[in-house]
Amino acid sequence: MDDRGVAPVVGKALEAGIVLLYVGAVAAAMYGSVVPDYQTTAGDAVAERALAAAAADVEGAIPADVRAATVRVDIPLPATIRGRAYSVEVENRTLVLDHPDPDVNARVRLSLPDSVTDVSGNWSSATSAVVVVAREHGETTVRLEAR
Amino acid sequence: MRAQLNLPALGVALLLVTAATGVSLAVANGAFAAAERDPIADHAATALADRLVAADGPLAVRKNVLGADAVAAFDSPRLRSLVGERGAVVRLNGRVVARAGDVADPRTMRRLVLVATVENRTLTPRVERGAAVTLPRRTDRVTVTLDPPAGTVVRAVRVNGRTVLSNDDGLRGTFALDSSRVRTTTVEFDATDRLPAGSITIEYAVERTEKGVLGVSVDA
Repeated sequence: MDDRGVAPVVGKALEAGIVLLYVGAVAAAMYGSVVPDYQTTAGDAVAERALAAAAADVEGAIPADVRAATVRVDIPLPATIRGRAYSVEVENRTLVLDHPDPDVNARVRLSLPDSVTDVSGNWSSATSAVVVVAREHGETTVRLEAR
Repeated sequence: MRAQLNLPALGVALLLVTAATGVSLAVANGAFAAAERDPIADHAATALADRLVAADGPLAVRKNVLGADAVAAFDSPRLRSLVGERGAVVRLNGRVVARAGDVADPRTMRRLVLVATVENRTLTPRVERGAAVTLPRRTDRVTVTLDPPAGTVVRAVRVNGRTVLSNDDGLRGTFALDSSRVRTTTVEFDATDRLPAGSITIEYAVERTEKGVLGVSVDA
């Protein structure tokens, strides 16, 4: 009969424990896999959009019908993607986004006129990006540089 | 009795919360799927269309004006070199101009263009002393062949009042003249006598343009 007062305490403790376990399990599932997955998916989409826009800006920077010119165009790139810094390289006239997360990546082929002889350089998201197009003697070079 | 009822109530409550969470995740997934685009394939189609209509592109004579000869000569290897490893089709007014690879999931860009056909025309006018010849069409390419009869000397040729050829001992031979596509061209001859037919041959290029729709489809 002395145990009668204990039963509600045990019952409440049990309920509280179940709720804590449940909340813990849900939080672990959310922050362990669901949220990072979403961040990566969103980051990958942002990377593709940013790189496609950057490629369009690079192509737009190249002047037509000009014998000699130097063109500098600022390229707006997000400072971070999925919360991390990244870089953009050039591989064989293709812009490649290099991100610490292997699931976040993008490649865009540049569509350039025949007069372009060389595409080089790279961008880091830590600094402002600029593309420098130089045309001399009918030959055009494209360089990705930090401002 | 009431204490024992709490536990099933809690179970039901947690079940409801779980269901609500599941539904939210499904909605979030749907939103992600609905927002999924392929900006890189869109960029490939836009870039190819821009390249084809660009003034320094493989088809255009000027920006947005395609040369009919260049369109006829455009083939799969040339298209392949522009588009990379993606499949692509270029159409002009719905007719396939060139095709490279398969296009299963097309991203299509259409551009309104002019298709220019160039033909050369020849004038052999008789020119009285001090008279001028006005070309019936505007053109940026004029060639003059001077073969005056013996005793007649052509000292100068003027285009729209500007002296472009001059030789006091007499001009003879074939000369290319500068002229503007946006201005009517008048050619004057400073000759010592009238020039009969055949002593001057003016050759000029005439451009005929037709409107067309350039369709560029690139495989996603």
